[in-house]
Amino acid sequence: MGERWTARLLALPGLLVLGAVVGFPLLYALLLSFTGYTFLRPDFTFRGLTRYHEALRDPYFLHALGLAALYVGLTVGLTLALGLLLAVLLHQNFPLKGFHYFAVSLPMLIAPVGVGLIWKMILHPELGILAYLVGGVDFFGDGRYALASLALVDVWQQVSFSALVLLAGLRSLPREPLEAAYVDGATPWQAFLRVTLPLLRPVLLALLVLQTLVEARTYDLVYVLTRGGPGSATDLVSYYIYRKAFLGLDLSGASAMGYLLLLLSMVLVVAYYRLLTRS
Amino acid sequence: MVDLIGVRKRYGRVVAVDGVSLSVREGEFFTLLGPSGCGKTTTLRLVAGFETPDQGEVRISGQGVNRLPPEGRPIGMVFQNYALFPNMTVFGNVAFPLRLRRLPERVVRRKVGELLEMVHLQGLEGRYPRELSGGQQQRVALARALAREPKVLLLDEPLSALDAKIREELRGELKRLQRETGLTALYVTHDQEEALALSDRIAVMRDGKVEQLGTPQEIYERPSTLFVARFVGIGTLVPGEAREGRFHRDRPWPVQVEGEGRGFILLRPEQLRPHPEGFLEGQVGLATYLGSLLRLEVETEGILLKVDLNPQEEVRAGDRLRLALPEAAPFIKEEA
Ligand SMILES: Nc1ncnc2c1ncn2[C@@H]1O[C@H](COP(=O)(O)OP(=O)(O)OP(=O)(O)O)[C@@H](O)[C@H]1O
Ligand SMILES: [Mg+2]
Repeated sequence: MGERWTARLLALPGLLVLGAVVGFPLLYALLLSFTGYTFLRPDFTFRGLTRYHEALRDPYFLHALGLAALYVGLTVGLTLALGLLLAVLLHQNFPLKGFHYFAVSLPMLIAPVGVGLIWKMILHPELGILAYLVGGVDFFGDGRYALASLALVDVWQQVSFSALVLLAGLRSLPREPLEAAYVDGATPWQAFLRVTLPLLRPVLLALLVLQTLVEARTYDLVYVLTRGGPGSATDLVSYYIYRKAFLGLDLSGASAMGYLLLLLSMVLVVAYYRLLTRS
Repeated sequence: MVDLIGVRKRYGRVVAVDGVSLSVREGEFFTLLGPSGCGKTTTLRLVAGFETPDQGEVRISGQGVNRLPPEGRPIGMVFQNYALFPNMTVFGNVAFPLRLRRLPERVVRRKVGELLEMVHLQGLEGRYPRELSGGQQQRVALARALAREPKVLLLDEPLSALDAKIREELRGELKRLQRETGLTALYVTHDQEEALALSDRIAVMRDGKVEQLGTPQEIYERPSTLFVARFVGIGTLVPGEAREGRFHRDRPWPVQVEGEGRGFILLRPEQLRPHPEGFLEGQVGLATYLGSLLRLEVETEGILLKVDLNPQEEVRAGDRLRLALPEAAPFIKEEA
């Protein structure tokens, strides 16, 4: 038996487990999405693309999708902008750098549900310290603020990762181009815009892909903080799909929507990838 | 033009530059030469303004610049790894310093054209750095450094990332450009041959200090320390004693020296000639054909002498040979 076969054999248990917990559900959901299966009427008859057509005509699904798009744009944009700012600040020399570094990475170390619970308390309309300070705003109960509040909590957690990745990016940049720019007479701001930022482009684009995927499937924060409410103000698409499957018991409909979301995400990733590899 | 006065710079416990004083004259090609880690780059960065000295003063055109940031100094800089802006074309790179000065686009275009012509890169304006060879990239970097019309050009090992052939070609052009523009150049290299070929004067550095400062001829022909003698050029250091103007080993040698006491004479390989009545007799240990010359290692009186011959000479390892000595040789006193 050759070394290659030994290697394959050794990888087999892992692959089997992976196949069972990832591959099987994916495949099962795909099959279900072509049937009319619900928990109330377990019927496996092939119905073609019916459930996909229905999904695309479902105003609640489209609303959830639009909301998610808005949410992704908001959170990803803010996360990258703030992450870049933090990374640049952490890249400077100042006292107690280690402490600041730790503070910035802290949110990343907390589970999303924990983050949700912490902010639920901070923003609680009667008990929350922040709500008290700004004069009784009901952050999650008021349809005008709910989505933005949710997004801010999300950004608060996600910004750690972006900041650290960008900081690593900044540290790995060659220092000579920047120095050349200074000798050429650039101000720090000009040097940042015209030299540092373009050099960081690959890192920024990679983060854009990662964060888009992370935010597109936001579910835990919605579950902990708003349950999609008030009304449908924070009914993001992954939460809507969850409700369709496990509250509406319509497994085949939810599977179809899940696959539509997956398809959309893949289109986005491919588009980003094009951007990334074009130069 | 550039004066360093007792300049010192340390990083933590490492003293990178340890009391360097030197003056680069206007229009001069001045080289800092030394082995890795001797503080050449740090010295250059002090002149550029990327570092500030802990002690001493840097002056450019007679004006103290210790507190002046790089952009305030009349300098241009070329780096070992080119340091071009990868997101800009050749044109964009060279135009960068001009556009920062908000020159009208018409003037920018004319000037970039002139600069690119100067470094023989016409027609490549639209290329990106990654589409150029190393030599071409360094030409772009040179054009960019010249764009601001600096008084002093600082170059940190600009040729060491290039192939031998391109290196020599660009070396010649660099010298020509510097002559034509009358620019003062402060050049850093660890390549002694490059230093000898390019420089008007050389400062040989060691452990953050200037070991010897002089013209290439002075450095090569009269090294003042063993370190310089070993670092610059090829040769053999023969231990012995200087007495009454002559060199002695177990017997007096027919070689005039200056100085008294124990020390070494430096014999360059091109100064030793085979001669039927030569003073030394030895056996060829190794004969290496180098194209333009034949390099021998000749063992005689317990010394291994390097000798360069015409490549046509028919000498083989194992042959016995008599060698004539030069009339005079540099004598370097033994270090305490
Ligand atoms: N930013 C820095 N931090 C700490 N030590 C440094 C720094 N820059 C240089 N040094 C140290 O200072 C000394 C001189 O460094 P420098 O770069 O000037 O040497 P060099 O002569 O240019 O060497 P090379 O030929 O390898 O480029 C070295 O011991 C180096 O390790
Ligand atoms: Mg160096």
